[in-house]
Amino acid sequence: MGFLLPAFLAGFAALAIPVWIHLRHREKKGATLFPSLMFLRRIPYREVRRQQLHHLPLFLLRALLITLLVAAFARPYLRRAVPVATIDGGSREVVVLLDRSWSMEYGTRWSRAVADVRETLAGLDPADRATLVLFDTEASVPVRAGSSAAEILPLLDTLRPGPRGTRFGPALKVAQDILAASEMPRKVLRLVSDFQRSGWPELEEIRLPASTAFEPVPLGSPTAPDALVASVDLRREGGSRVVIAARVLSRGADRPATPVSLTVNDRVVERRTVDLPADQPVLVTFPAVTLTAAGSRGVVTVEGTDSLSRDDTHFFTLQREDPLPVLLAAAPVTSAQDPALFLMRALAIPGRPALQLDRRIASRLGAPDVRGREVIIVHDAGLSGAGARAIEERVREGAGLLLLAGPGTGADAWPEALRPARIGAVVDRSVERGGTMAAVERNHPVFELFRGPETGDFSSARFFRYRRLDPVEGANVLARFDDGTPALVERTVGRGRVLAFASPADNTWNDLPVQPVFLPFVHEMMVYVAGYSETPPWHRVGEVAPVVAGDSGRAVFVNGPGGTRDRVTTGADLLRFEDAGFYRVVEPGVGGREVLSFAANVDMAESEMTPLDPEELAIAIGGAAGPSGGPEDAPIGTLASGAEQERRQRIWWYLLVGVALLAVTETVVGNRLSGIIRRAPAGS
Amino acid sequence: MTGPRHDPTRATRFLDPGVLAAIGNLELLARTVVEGFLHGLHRSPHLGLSMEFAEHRPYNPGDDIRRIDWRVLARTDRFYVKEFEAETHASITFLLDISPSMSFGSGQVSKLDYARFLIASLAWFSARQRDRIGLITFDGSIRETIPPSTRHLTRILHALDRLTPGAGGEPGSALGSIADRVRRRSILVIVSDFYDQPESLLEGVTRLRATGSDVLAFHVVDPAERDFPYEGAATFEDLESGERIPLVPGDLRGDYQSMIAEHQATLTRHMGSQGVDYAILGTDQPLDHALFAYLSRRQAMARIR
Repeated sequence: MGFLLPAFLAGFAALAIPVWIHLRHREKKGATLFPSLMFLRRIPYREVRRQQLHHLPLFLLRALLITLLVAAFARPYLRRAVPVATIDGGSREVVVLLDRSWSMEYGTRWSRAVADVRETLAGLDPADRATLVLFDTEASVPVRAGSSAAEILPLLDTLRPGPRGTRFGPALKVAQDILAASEMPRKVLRLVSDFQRSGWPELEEIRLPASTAFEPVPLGSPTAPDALVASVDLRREGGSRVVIAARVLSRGADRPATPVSLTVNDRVVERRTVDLPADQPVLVTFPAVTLTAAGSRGVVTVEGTDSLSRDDTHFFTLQREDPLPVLLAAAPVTSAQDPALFLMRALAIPGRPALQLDRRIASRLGAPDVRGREVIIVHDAGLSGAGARAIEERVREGAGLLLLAGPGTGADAWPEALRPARIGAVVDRSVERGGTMAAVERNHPVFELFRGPETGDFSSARFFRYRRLDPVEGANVLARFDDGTPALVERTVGRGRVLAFASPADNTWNDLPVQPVFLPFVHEMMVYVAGYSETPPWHRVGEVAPVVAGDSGRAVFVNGPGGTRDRVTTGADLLRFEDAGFYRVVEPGVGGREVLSFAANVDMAESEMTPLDPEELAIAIGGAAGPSGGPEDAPIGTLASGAEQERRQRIWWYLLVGVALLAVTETVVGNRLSGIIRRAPAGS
Repeated sequence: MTGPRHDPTRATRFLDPGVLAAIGNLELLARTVVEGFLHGLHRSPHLGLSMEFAEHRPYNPGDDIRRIDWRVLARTDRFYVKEFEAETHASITFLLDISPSMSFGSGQVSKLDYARFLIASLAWFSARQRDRIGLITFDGSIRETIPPSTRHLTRILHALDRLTPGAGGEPGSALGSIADRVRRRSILVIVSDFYDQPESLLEGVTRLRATGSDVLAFHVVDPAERDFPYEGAATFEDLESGERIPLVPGDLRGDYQSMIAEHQATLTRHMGSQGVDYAILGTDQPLDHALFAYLSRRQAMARIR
């Protein structure tokens, strides 16, 4: 007997519920008041019996009900391996799946795995065909499928575990295809792995051909002592200082006085000695580090000898973040109330990116005011002359522009080359208590933050007046008022982005500035028009990232951690992280200047060594495994037919029927007892 | 204890404690109880009392012709009716236990409420007899004293209306203290749940009897105290001391009921030996049981006199 979903067996903890109910349920939370205990006190030792279970039959009924329910959810099945003798003779199609994830570096796993594969291949008959599938998160067939053992054996000496994690799905898929296409009378699938549970998310839809013999060779062990840097937290203090905290863990064993070091730009800046209790993460916080203008590369390392070294080190990069220069152009303040006050307050709130806000009068803008700005905001004002030309030039270079229409925004206030929409008449809806923003494009980056349920209630803002916007060709409407009029329109001008909003942020034409969505809405518009994106401090091995360094189209070289050197084009090529370490982007030529660096780390999920029951995997892919346990004693089991599998797994159905019957019985018995108890006075 | 024969099917509806609990006004409650009780009894309220002549007045149509003084008629040839004034014979003091255990009630009426109803009814009844009535409340010691007087009905009812449970203590010692205050022979009506050692209670009652007074003891018992119907495991808290004991009551019921029965038997035996009328009143019982007990005792005293 086994279980397809053994995780559900944790539900047996629910047995504590009836135990608790029958031990304590009849006991009131508060004490039962009684006039005098002078008689009860004379009866000795009876209070001990309060811990006894009451209504034992009902308790047993409930416990049995929970037991059956949990067992049903865990999907029990019968283990019935088909004897070897039942397998027909004939040539075999053998597929060997060899796990080359980095956890296979642990101890002697890899050498044992290679030895097993070698022995398996050596034991094949000349008529047999073999395929070696190497897999980690991906699967590859290094030698043509269906080769002879002699063609594969020389390859084994050159193989090493890679830096990636484990996923059984791709490898099994490859095996499924090979075995399904094979006309050999006997099909064998041998899986050599440390069988980490994290590699089988139970989402894979793989069914191997019927009567395929499955030979699991589990090499892992549930207890594998290992020290690792589980994660690194980077907390910025201002733009150029960062506090680095590492979460360090020792699995399976205590590690007293373990040194943990922080290296920045190849120099050890701090070394701490910490006691690592088994399976309890320890947070190691290092002093704040000041970043250089070019950025910094950092490494946190758990020092000392370890059976698994890849997870001892965590790489990261840190970039200095200077405030984003923002220009606010608005009409001069003529009254006590500044119409742009709410906008300025919103922009002054610290966030990422940090903003450096300057305000100018829109009608007096000149080229120097615009130069170097990443974002320009024009609040209820017109643009003309040199200012308009400078803004257009800056936007074409990549800056963002946010236009807000209002009472001071005439029909020709926005230059034609920049405007996402023509400005129309004022829509006055004050008599109907204002309109609302009814249709919002929540898949757009500006509104992505508000996509979740219960977030971003734009309908709470009332718009009493707004300008009718007529989108120009090529512009996108991102939001509309409830009468269908565009509220927010987007357009791309050169390399820059322009957003136009139909109403000002003045709390007069609308009350949006006093609504909770205002601050995040403004922030998201700023992030979008600025084209800002946070640079992740590290990537995972296997991921890709664009190389954005200065102007696009430049040829640069990437020096990888293994001494690799690749030529890429900035803004066009994607960099793929094949190994853990730093990837330095340098300009061409000897001693080329480093313009950018990336960090890549192995997937830490791979350090989780909890094993997967091969039987469970076998059932999931189509049948029961044979009683294999290692390369020496591995008779071949046969994958059962669909009907046979269904029959073996059908136990849950009977269990659920039993649960239903028990539930009815429990209801009847429980009601009867409740009636008896209700007739007793309070306190009983 | 013996008393007048009682037809339980008549007029006892208003004597049910559960019904009485709905009457907010204690005087109205007492009046309801006594009038209902007497109505069911079909007897004169002036039972066992001698009447004292006050004066003659001319006969008016409608007067009871039995009250015409025939001797005066013979002498004067005029109809005169005799006016009488009831004698005030007895001094009655109600001794009410207000210890916290009396606040217990498993049903609609707590023991203290029941005791209040009982004393209010008896007081109102006694006031109609023109007895002097007083009240002493006690827990471990004496809490409030209203000396006996024919005009103290309202005061007693008011005191009963506002009383709250007192502190814990032994009623036996409190009864001894009360005995020291009794100055003249009277009827002492003790209403208590008698949670004390029988020896201590007996000592207190003996001292009360030593004053020459007649003593009636009403032992108020809640049905839950009597039957102990609790089932599930629970922590029981002593209302007197606050002590808590975890128990499985179902296992203790037999032993507990035996002890309670033995306690009551001991009290019955000892109090009987002291000439004390001892009656057990369940708070689920109509009040007429107590009224009969009281009445019979009152009659017996009137006969002695």
